[in-house]
Amino acid sequence: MEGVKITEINSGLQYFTDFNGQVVLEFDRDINRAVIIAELIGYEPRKQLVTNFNETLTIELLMEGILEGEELVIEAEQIGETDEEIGISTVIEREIIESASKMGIIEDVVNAVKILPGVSYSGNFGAYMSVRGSDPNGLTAVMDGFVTKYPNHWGGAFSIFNPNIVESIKFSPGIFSVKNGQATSALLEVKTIDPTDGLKYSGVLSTSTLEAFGQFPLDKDNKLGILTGFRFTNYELAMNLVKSVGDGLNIKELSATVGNISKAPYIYDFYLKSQYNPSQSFKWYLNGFWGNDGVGIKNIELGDKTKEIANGFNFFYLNSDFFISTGISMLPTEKLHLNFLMGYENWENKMDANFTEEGYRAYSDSFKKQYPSLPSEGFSIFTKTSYTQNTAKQGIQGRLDLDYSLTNSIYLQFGGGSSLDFTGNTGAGNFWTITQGGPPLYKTEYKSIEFKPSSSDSRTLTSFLYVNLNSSLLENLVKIDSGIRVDHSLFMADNYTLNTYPEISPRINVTYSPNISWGILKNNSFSIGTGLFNKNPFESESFSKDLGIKDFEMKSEKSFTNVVGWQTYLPLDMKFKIEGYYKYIYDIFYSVNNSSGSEVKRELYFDGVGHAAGGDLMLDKKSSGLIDGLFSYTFIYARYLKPNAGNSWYYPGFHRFNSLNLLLNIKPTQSFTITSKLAFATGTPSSEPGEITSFQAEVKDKDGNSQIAEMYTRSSYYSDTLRSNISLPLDIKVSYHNYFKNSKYQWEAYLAIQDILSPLLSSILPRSSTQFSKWSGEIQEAPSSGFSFPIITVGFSMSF
Amino acid sequence: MKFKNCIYYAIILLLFQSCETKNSKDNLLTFTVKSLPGTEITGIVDSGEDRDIVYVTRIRLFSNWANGWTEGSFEASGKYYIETFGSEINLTEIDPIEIWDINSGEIRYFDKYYRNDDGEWKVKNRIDRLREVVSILKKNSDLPEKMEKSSEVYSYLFPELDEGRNLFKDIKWNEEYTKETFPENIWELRDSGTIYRDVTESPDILVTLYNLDSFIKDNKTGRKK
Repeated sequence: MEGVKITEINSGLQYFTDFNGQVVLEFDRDINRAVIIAELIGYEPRKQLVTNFNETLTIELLMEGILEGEELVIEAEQIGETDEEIGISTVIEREIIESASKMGIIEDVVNAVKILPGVSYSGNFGAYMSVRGSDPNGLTAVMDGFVTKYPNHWGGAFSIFNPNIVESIKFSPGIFSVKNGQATSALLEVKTIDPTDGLKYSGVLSTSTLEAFGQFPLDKDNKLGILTGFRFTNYELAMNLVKSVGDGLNIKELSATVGNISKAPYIYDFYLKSQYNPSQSFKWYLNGFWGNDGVGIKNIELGDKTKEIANGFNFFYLNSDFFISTGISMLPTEKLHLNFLMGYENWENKMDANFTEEGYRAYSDSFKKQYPSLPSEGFSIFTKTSYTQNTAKQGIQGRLDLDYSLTNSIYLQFGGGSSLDFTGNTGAGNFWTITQGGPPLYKTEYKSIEFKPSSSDSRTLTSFLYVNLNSSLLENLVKIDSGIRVDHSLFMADNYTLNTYPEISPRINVTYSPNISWGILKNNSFSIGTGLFNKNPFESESFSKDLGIKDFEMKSEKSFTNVVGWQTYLPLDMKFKIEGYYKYIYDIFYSVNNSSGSEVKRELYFDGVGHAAGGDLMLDKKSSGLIDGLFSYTFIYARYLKPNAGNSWYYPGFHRFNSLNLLLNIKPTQSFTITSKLAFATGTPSSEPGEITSFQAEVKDKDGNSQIAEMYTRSSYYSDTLRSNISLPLDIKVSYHNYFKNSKYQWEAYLAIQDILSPLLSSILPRSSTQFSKWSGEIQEAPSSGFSFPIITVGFSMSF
Repeated sequence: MKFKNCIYYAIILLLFQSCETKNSKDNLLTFTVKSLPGTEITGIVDSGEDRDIVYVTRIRLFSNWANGWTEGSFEASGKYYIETFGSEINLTEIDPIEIWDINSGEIRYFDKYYRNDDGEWKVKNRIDRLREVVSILKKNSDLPEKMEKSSEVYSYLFPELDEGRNLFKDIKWNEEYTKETFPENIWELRDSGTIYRDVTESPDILVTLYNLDSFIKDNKTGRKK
């Protein structure tokens, strides 16, 4: 700009810029710093320090009275906000992940998923979730595009997804795109943190867990970075503390519960991610995970003189999962987006169990009266059950996805992929059980059944192709996502192959978002969608020739799902969403065990069907003010039928009519947060107990001599009306966090109490009476599932 | 809400002849001053004939709050006589400190990090806004010459805080008070809560900027880092 006056402060010399806005200033050689002022009417005067006299210096002037005020984002980015779609998916914000996941004995992102609408309450120790009336096995979890076949610890109590490595979660219980398959109930997509924004690290030390994570740039431009970390959980210390408290306060139930643990539950997880973003149009990443968990339970009553027939058991469980995946995402052209992924997973699971019964019991008077010719006054017994099972699975998977922009608002998506899984199953054992014989005598016996799972090495090749059209019409007034997918599975074992027919799954979802408001209801959106979903039964990887399944008889379970939804925004930054659905579930896999003699024969069927319908809603308050949180309610009606197992409609074992969740974060100050999580759920189906009847059974004592035992049995019958107790867990976490003075290190101390109401509920809710002693016929009150005492966790964390 | 009323013009190209630096020795010194919390001042010490002089070259501003921190490194100028007593130093002003262009800036906001160009831009804007706030505060004769804590000026900057926070929403700003009390270039920044966030998220930087022109009176001392 011409005519700007430049004044050198020390000398007072003045200069003016020329037509091109340039001027040359001369200084003595002994000057190493100078201050100049640039002035022009209508602009703020600008002082400038000059230290480098060999370079051209550009000075920018601001118009008078204007202050640059680009506001810092006051709320964390709505992660994945653009991905959330009514009728399809819900994206969980970082704030909800932090508050809902980091509570309880294990930090697990599934704790945040469990409170979402559509999810049936699964307990504090249940990562297997039933969604909208479907079997928990219908849920598929994906981490950065890689399908994780067994992402759980402790037999499904918790997932492997640590909130410290998770960027966002997208939960899709609706009509999700044909890009994803092998899921009949819902898709859980976990996106991990991109480690390309500099140095960060954090650590957590709590009652039973030590965690540490670090993110390190590997180049000076932050284009290449690595994220790594671990979690060590071991309950040895916590168990000893609880036992000490139980012994000290003479709470026998508490002492007994932890006293039965022979190997304290443990989880050891290791994570690794590396990412390279050399430009906006190319990204490469590598993900790795290795996790181990296990637990041992032991109860030795043998030799306990207070018990006539004492039980001993020793159970050991080990689980190990390792996977590694790599992929690239690139824009070869402006209109084409390409994603490629490949990965490998190795999962091993081992169970080892021993159960022993030993003792002497005198016959009761009623038994002697019923059987007057008994040879003695009582009987001795010694039985041993022993069972081991080892399962090893390896798999490789790969996929290629292409998105092509036909126009600015229409995208053609297509791709395909395949996975090849190797399964090895070994195991053997026996178990003692009461059996009911067939006609004419219908004899009740207590016998040892040999159990030998088919030992085989099998391979399963699953492939898919899809094409999808995603279009936004009339300036986003209408969005249509429609596509078709084909899946095929080939099962291979020694001299044995099984094909499925190609499973065709069309899907369509339409969203209508008129730009209208109804009073306080703003930004309304409506959706309607329908589609077919399928998933191979988990057990299919252990099929063998002797099971008698013929080629093309094997089927994947399918769900014909229909969803309608409405979403609106309310005052006070609240979002409301409600969805209704109906599913017809068919080709359900089930097996029936028929015991004859001392062997069990397994028969397989693929003809189960089911209906599921219901609705769920969510009210979500974004982070602001003193209070934020989430409320959800789910109603599910589900009935299933297995034509070759009972052939009558029933409520499946995972069914609950009602599940309600309330998560509240209360922040009286910036440093202090009180998080409360309340769930309410009606019970799961409970069987109706029949009459307890006695019978005489031939058993052996420790020396192998035959004995006649007095035993009792009771049949139980399915009931449409009986339910287990309601669940009402209340968890509270109080945390205080701040930074050290003049430091970038943040610290947090927290105290969490899980299931605060459990002692109250245990004392007032009726106990189950389905358990009885098979030696005396006496009813034994069984506690409700879960612990009957609150679980306290104390922790301290630091991050940089 | 973004404040996008500013317009930049590149106006001047300056060419300077090369010159030789005349420091008798390069001796970097970084020190802190109690009345400038979270701040580090770096300069080159020149051992003159009578007394040592420190030529300030850089200033690092830093402040944290419950859920993050702000850090900026700036070119700076200033000249002081310096006397050293172990780790303590005595300064006598020759030319006061002035803050110039930003060299680098980073912000952590909860778990979100703003770094590189994005961080630099946000820190520069934040500091510009805080400097404007300080210039407004300096015109108020009721406020002290030196600030100990940023909360001392809350009653002037944010009288709405006395009414308590709404349970479900952030503070409701009194737009009439804004117009009556502050210059026009601040109105939107205050009413959007931007100034409040700048002050509560960078309290030490506000104190530093407020005290910067007066900290050196009466031979104030600092500490070597």
